Amino acid sequence: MSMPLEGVRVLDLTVYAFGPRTSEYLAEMGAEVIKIENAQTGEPLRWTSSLREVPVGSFKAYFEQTHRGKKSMAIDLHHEEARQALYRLVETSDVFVTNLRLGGLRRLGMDYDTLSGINPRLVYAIGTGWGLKGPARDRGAFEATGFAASALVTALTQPGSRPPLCPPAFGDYTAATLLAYGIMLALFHRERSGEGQLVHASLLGTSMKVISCCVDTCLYAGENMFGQGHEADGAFYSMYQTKDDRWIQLCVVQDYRSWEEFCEAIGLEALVDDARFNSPEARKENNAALVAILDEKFLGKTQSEWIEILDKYHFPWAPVRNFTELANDPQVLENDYLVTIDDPEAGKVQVVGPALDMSKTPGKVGSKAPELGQHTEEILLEVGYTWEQIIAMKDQGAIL
Amino acid sequence: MSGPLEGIRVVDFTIQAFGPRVSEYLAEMGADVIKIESPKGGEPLRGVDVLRGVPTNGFNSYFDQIQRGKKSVTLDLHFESARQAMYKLVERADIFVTNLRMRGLERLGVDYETLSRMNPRLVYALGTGWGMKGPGRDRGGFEVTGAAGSGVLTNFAERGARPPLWPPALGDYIAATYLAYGVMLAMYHRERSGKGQLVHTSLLAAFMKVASCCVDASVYANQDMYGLSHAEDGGLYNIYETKDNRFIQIAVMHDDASWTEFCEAVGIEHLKDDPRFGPYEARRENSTALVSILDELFLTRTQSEWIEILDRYNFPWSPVRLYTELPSDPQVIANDYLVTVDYPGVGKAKVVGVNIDLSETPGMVREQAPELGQHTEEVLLDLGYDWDSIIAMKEEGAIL
Repeated sequence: MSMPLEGVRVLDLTVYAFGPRTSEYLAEMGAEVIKIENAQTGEPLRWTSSLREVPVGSFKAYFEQTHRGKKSMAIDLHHEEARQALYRLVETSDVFVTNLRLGGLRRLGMDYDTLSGINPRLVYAIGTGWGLKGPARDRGAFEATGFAASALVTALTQPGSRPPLCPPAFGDYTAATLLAYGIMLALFHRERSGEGQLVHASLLGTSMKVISCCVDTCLYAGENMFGQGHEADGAFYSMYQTKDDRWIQLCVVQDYRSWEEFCEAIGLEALVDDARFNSPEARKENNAALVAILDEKFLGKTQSEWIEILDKYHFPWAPVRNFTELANDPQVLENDYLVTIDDPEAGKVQVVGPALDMSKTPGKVGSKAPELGQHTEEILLEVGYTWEQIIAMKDQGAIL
Repeated sequence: MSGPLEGIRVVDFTIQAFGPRVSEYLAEMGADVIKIESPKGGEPLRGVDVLRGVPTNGFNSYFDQIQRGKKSVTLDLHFESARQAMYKLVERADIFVTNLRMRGLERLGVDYETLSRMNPRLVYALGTGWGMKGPGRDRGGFEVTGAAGSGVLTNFAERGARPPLWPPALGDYIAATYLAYGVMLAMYHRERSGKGQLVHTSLLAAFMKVASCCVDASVYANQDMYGLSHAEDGGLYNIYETKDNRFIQIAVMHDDASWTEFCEAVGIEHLKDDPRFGPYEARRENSTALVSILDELFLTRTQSEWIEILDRYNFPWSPVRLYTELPSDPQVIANDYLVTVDYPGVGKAKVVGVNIDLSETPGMVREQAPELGQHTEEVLLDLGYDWDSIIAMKEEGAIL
């Protein structure tokens, strides 16, 4: 067995980012993923022409990375024949992944009760914006809604300021990660017990989960947490501007044991024995003075000069990167966090790899995302349809 | 079987947030987690008394939420007796979780090679800051270093502006979610093949993964992505200020049906058929005009007035919440995204729930985090130690 999910069949009735990313996690680990697409429109991400202000060009990175290695069936589920075909596929599948709205799934006959009735071993994974219950259960959701509703974005914002807009798909992919974990829990349980089940995560629930240290602390204290200014969180735990208007993030906690090492690294040996700073308590007391000294110091060199200097030290720090710089970052390359693929149209392209190391069953970046409906016939034939039946379905518009 | 991981034994050799959150994910799902702590002070998060200015007030929820339901065993691995006790625990464990630095793990004799020889079925989960290879492999990683090193932080700030200070533990918890997925992939593989393995991810890797749509698009276009200014963001994908200086996130993308619905909801029916805002492309083209109309409109009501109006509509939107508002949010309540714990000495506290729904084997928020070394004797006795050897270990300082 070369990949952990070899032999696992996944039916993917998903749109946009949350659902597709969930099943792509499984595809990267060897699962066979069959994407069911609306025969008329296909996956909306197929048509993305730019992401924020970055143009897509001939390589549709956003669509590709959520659909690589999948098969595509173009089906119109409003036709009874199409629905029956999908039910047959459900019989042979291990996992069903969806992020359509609950009402829509019921209308299409693709809800948990129906599908688990057909295949009790099925792991039915659903991603929603707001949860399976509650007054907002039918409300749409998109990317940033979970971060807004969980107050996560408030922790990024100074009181009274406008919160930043979250990067595209970031909220969806975070929730997809939690849902993928849930799917593996359910598959593990099925391996031991034989029973399938419903597994669910939402944008709201996930956002609360990943920001739970702030949520729990604030609720118990009855106080809120906001973003803070440059000086607020300790001189060692802040971002400093460099000569070329870039940034260096320091992540050294206040009681860091090697004050000497830090002073040596940034060339402030004179401060080692300075009574204002030579103990954690003193540094806390004189934080503003230390921030001012570091502000001035960091402005003295460019970001790349600082990287060269700090690279020799093992306390936590990071350059604040731009995405395009990752392509040349030795740390990124040596760990295969970016891998080079050969795209039939775009040529050689660097894309994010599985970024999860497994010593015996590593994942891999799959082949190019399928054309709309590329595998419809192949899969219908496999589950026992004849060419006559397939042609009849095409004629009535049940498949593309 | 109450949780999917009932009967699974986890040895947790972790500190701070990344590692502890991984094994807490497993504890919530029923695994039996033994946390190994240094007899000299134990887990550093035991000492947290304030989080970004919010006091813990006697209930250290940050520590508690990632140590709940675990057993605490003190072992100082610098002593041979303690190391041998660790090996005995590993022999009968299913999973080993750590986020200590790799060189330290080698020095202490608990690296993957050593432990997997002892127990070939062991799933060895490692979280690092920067990856297992490359020039940064020995550098510390902490909370925000993954967000900074991956380019994500840049994407939260407008070009040239100082990126926001990152909320506590968010980076660790996102990476922990991904590593928990990896652990379950490895457990599933072990169930089918009998073989354990090493599974690893880093803060850097996990952030590149959850931001991969931006990374892949930027690297391919060789153009960086920054936060956009309020006016540049799409009119219907934006954050608007309300009369009481709060904010509403609107998150409608391409969907033209939602535009019509939105116009009705906020009382601008006269713009419904305005060609400037008609199809998605037009709205994007005339984003600045739309933003200024909506800026003025949203300022006419308070956030709660807008919530009352928008609550009837199912297009994607969200209030930008404060943490202390979550307990009264009906959506949070209906989905058990907060649950109440009742601890001796603490009383009732509301904390973030499991937030993954599993219909047959739900997880649960476990009981209070252990005192330092609370289970040392119990676990050693269970391993076959007698009281004489336990007392001898205490006397040499190998255990507390």
